[in-house]
Amino acid sequence: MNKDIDLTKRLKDPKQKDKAFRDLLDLYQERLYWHIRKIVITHDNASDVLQNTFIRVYKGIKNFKEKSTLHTWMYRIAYNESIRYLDKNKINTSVSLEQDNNSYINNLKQDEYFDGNELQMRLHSIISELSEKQQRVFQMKYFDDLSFREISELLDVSENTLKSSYYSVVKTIEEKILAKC
Amino acid sequence: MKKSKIHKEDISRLHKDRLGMDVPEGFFKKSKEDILNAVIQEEQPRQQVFWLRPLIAYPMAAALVIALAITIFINNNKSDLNNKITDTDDIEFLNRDFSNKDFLVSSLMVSDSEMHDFLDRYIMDEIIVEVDRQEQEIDDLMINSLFVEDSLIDNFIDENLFENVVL
Repeated sequence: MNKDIDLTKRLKDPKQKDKAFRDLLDLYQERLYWHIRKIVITHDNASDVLQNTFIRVYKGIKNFKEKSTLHTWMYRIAYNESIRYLDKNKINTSVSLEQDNNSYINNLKQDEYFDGNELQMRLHSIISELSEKQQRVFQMKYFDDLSFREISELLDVSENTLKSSYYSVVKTIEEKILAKC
Repeated sequence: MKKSKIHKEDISRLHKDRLGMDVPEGFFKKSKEDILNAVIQEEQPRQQVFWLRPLIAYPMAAALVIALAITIFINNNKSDLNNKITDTDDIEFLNRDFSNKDFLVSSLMVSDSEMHDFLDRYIMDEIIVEVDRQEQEIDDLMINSLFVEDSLIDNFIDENLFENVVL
């Protein structure tokens, strides 16, 4: 948290901005990449969205009001850019219809940088069957290691709802994976 | 589905192990450079407008001012010259051809302002003076005529006097 405050201060100082931005990239690039990748699925898409995200961060930092942490603010930008990218490219990863489920799996299989085994493919299949909100909660909590408070700010859902949703999803995934073994 | 400590620290390895998702070798290093270049390009476009670059804009502005000054200077000199018509070649040209009755052709060779000045001068020098001269001649004639009449009268009187008185 203190690191974020110091970084924000340096990013807002024109004399230190460039150096601070490099430090920001070192700290957050990889984490934001994976946050994006799980939404847009393929590596190439994630690379594009990652660049757009950091450009927005660089240009918007002077207007950052610090109502949330720098960490949460950047994740929100990354999340919004990912959704915007999906809408623009009409890649639908929601699971309301079987066709949407197939689209998630098809995009995954077409990705040059996906090399999943049977178990991993099974996990993806189970995740794709969840609702969009459930997918995000599970991915952000389990893989991105965000707190429930941060996820609540990102998805605009109460923490209690998130907690119950998350533990329900985890239980579902475990049951389905074990059932198919 | 517990994450190991190693996984918590190495997020890429976690995604590789659990989701089968991988990244190209050296991707994050290259991505950092690409992002920094993209940010620099985003910041620079305002300064890249060709006509507004200092190295282009200032010399262009200076050239424009100099061209304008030269134009104004030339125009001023031209109008000054037009007001100083004395013994120019053009006036002599018009003078000669005026008397040779090729005036209309010659007038095409000079500017309108020179023509007006020439005409003003011609009217002053030639016509008005000529009128004065002619008026003087008429006056002289009248005066002369008086003398002639007087002399004729005198002659008549003398003759009549001689005839009538003497004879």
